[in-house]
Amino acid sequence: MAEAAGLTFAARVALEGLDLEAAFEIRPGERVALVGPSGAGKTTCLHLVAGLRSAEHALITLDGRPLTDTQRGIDVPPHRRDVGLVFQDLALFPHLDALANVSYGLGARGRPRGQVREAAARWLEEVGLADLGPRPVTALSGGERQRVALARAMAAGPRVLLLDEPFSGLDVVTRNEVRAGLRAFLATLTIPALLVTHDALEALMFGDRLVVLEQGRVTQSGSWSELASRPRSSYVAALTGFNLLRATLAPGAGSRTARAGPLELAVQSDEPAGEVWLAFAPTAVLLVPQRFGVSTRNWFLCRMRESLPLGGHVRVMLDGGTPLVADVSQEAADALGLEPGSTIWAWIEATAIRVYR
Amino acid sequence: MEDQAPRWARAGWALRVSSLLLPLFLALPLVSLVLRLDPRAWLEHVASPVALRAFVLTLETTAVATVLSAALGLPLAWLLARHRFRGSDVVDTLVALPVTIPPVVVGVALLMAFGRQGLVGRAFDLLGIHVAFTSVAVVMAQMTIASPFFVRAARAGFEAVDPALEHAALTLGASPWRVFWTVSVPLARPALFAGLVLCWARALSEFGATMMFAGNFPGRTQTLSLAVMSAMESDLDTAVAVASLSLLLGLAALLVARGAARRWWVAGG
Repeated sequence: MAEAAGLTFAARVALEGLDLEAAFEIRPGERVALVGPSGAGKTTCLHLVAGLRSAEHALITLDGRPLTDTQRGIDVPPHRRDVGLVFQDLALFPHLDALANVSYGLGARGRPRGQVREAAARWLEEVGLADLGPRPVTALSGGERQRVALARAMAAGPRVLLLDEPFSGLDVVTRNEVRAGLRAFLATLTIPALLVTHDALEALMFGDRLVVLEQGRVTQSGSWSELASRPRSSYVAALTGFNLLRATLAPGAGSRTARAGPLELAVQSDEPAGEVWLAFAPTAVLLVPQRFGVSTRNWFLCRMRESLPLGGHVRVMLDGGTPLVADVSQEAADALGLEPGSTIWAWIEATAIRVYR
Repeated sequence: MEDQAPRWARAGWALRVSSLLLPLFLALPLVSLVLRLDPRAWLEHVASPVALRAFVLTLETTAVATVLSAALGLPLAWLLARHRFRGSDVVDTLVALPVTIPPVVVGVALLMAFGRQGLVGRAFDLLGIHVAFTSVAVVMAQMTIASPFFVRAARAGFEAVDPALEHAALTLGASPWRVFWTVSVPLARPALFAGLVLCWARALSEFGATMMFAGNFPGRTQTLSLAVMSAMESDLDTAVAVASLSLLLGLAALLVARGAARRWWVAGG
């Protein structure tokens, strides 16, 4: 078996209420965001890589070395895997100060005491906490604790870095700070990094590539723009903010119709007839009080469900027989006088609809 | 002192008065015992060879029993806290049983196992080893009765340690053995200490099992509680004096436990 550098992961596990069956790989220096709804099995994947849980069938290799290979009966214990894991709730040792937390991994590897303290101090400096070494971790702020957790994981010299929703415990202001710091740090990494999140912005910021896990299956993977332009599940569409419809494309070529539930849309496509995805950006949906003469096609009378001011523009959730999302400018929203329950006309330009299988 | 409790939580007078009944009931015998002491005679009785020997023997045997209980109970408590394994329910029951059956019965059972005619004792007898009715038997009786108290407390302590902390230590490269000593034990320390004190206190008050399995031989197996019983048969003043020694030890155990708990909680342990 020709083993690639970096992390390769393939596993099948039966969990309570979920069958996980997923595979992905991360090259050295690549940052992958593992995204998906809660309960999709994201954390389980991390724990499988770290060896904290076992699988019925799994093949996990790191830089060519098998960590788990159920076929060959290989299961390297967690403390010999060289996997760095930043836990969701950080799991800092509450009985140790910041420096001792960071030193823990080096000490466990039996390095001389002086060398350990020196290296740990360097790591604390690296994350900008040089002065806080003697501080008990219980006395640190959320952002500081987060950085100690990162320094602790990195000081042990891992060959892969796993981060489990590293920002979930932080308030908004701290989160933005820590995100920026972590992003800069990850950019310098030469080992593979895997970040678990269910936040679209974090996935966009941290993932060179996204792997979408839904109900234990990888439903899609690729760069953000690939996912955004061709979402293949309603989750990915919601994550990237796109409208996504499953539709049946009529026979023909060029201008034709596609039926998505109660809606009939005019589209431009040379795809063969049959089941297709239709995706279009919320900005491709025009909202007006009255129909007018640009086109006779793709007009839908919708009921307004909800509108969210997002600073500069307003995201409008509509029900036109099927849920639709539209982005309009603040001025346009004010002029339309959007009220939940009111009806409004939506127009979608045929050429703005992407059609794919 | 200012009452900090919210209005609804402040007990009415009926609750307050009735909640004082049990403390009164508990205090009365102890106060009576202390009042019965004659300070001059007390010193004489306490310094008597029989009382001193019982006191020293009690300290020695309970110390050994507590240390052995901790040494053997610590890994067991961790295992019970962290893992469900085949037979873990059986082990759990075995550890709980000595708490629920009368110590006298435990003493008889120990004799059946380690007595001269006992299951294991018979083999020991062939080798010329006799444990029943020796100081070793005192320690064994105390361990059987008292070690479950340590295991229960330690288990609860380990269960309260977030498993993620042990997992984190593992991923940082620490062996399970190292994780146990550098993460699990330090974090469970208040509970472990409470368990030690409980275990020691229970060993101090051991009577029934010791009586059955070790007998009541001054200087060899006669601990304080056995000495009290022997003294009762001849001289009440001696009995009261020796009993007061036992009371002091029990009080000391309680105060040490409380002091340590306070220090650890304040330190944020």
